[in-house]
Amino acid sequence: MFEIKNISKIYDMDTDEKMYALAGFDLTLPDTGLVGIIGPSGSGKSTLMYCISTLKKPTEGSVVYNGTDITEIPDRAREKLRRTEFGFVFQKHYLVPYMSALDNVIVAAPAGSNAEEKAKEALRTLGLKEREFCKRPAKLSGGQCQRVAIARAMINDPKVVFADEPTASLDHENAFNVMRILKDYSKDRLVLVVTHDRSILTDVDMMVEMWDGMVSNVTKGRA
Amino acid sequence: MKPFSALYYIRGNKGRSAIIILMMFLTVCIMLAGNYLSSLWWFYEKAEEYGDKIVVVGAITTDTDYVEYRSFYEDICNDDKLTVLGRSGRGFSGLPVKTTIGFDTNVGNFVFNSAADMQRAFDHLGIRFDCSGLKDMDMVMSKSLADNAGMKLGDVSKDKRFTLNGLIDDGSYVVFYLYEEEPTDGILFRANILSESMSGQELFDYLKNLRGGRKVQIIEPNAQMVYREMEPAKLIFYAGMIILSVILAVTLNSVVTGQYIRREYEFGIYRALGISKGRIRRKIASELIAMDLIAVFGGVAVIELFTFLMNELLYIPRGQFLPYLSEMGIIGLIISNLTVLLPMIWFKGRRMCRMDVTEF
Repeated sequence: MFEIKNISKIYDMDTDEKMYALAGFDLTLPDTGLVGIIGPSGSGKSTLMYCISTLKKPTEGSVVYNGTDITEIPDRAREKLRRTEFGFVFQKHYLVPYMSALDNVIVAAPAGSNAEEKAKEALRTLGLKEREFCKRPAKLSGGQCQRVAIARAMINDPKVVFADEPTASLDHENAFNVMRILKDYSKDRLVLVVTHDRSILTDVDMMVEMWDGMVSNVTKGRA
Repeated sequence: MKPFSALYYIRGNKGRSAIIILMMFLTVCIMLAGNYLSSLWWFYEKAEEYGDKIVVVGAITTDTDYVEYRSFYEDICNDDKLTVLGRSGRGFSGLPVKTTIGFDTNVGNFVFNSAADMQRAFDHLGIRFDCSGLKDMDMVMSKSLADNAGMKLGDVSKDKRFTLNGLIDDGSYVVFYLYEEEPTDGILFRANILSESMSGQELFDYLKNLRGGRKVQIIEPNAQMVYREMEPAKLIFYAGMIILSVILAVTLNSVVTGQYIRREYEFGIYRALGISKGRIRRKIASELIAMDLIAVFGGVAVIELFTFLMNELLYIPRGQFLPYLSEMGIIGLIISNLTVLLPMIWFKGRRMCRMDVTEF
């Protein structure tokens, strides 16, 4: 699904001391399955995810998605890709504080779709109770917020879900619940999980280890 | 209510929205300032209520033996389109009254040579009043004007000449004097000219045309002179209003900026979710426009209520008036509102579209 070729990302391009977040490497990702990207802080794992997901443009190299180099497509096409084919879960849930849990999910749905029903169904599937649908994020626990964020990521039934440290702010129980949800979703879609916590990647289909802006190891099959 | 809609945001952020709405309400106060200043024009209009229906003509001293005036007088008396009511050549100033803004000014006045002439003029002007009880050196005015001048029936004017002997209910700020004078050599040296078929500039131009090159004074309605002289006041108002609007725009912009900084990640996540820049701009614009509309409609309602109370409790009993609406007030409101709103929509829309969730 993704073919990443010679990708590099340089921060502080204008300064003398250029910082290579990604130092130029190739990587191919499968069409489906749970892929873990692991590495210490500053290893470039989040930058890699942002470049693959069109949130950032790599300095060099290409990211080919279903035969199209998505680093070269216009902004509007990237927006459409994120809206229709990609879903995002971040370390912080980034829910809109003045919206209810349900509306936080609906807001990502395309206009005219049966958004409310789909959002309710997604929240139910993720274990939220009906009475929690109308609560604002401040009234929900961290785990519940992250599940709402996952429901938001999945409302459009995306082909790829990008999860950047999705369990970092959760306790163990919630962390494993979130990973179970993502694992279920990855049965017929691709889920990329970026983390520095190896313990949550026990059930991945592919593990990409990063070090200093480079891929240091790729393992396929269960870790 | 759709979560992306403006009203959803306002309902979910009542406190923050209230601050912006209250600040936007200040633009509505410019409307009140415009109305307040426009009370001057209202006052002059009322003082010149009949200025376009009666044109005064008179002899001038350079006309030896008033030969030219006599000739003109004969012409107008013979003109079927005109009604000529001769009157004394003496003029009497209007009463000094206090405008709503607070300074003193004179009101319009007409002098008639007989109660019968005054009655003809009143019938022509549509003023319902029976002049048969009036006598020489009486005056008639509206109740509003009497209230403003602090006079009541039977009171004598400050120059001790005229007695208030009639109140009319026309709301004008015009005083009608009855000053009887015997004609000199069969003629009075001024005349009030009325016409059933003409009024205003048409009547004025008709008389000028009829006068030709003769030495005769045709008095231009005061209102037109006053309006010309008052033009600079309008310009000063508009200039002041624009300066105030810019100050308000800068102040409001910084308040709104503070609120939008707290929302940066919200817009960042919208961008990550693939929501287009155009839709984000529309969201920001609709939120600010919705708050502005609440401020404007709510503000106008408050201003109108305030005006009503001021009129009923303060101004009308004093024979003054604060207009509810005015051209200056409305133009002021629109300009100040756009000065405040448009840059805010533009700058906030542009900035929030650039938010990147990966930067947080």
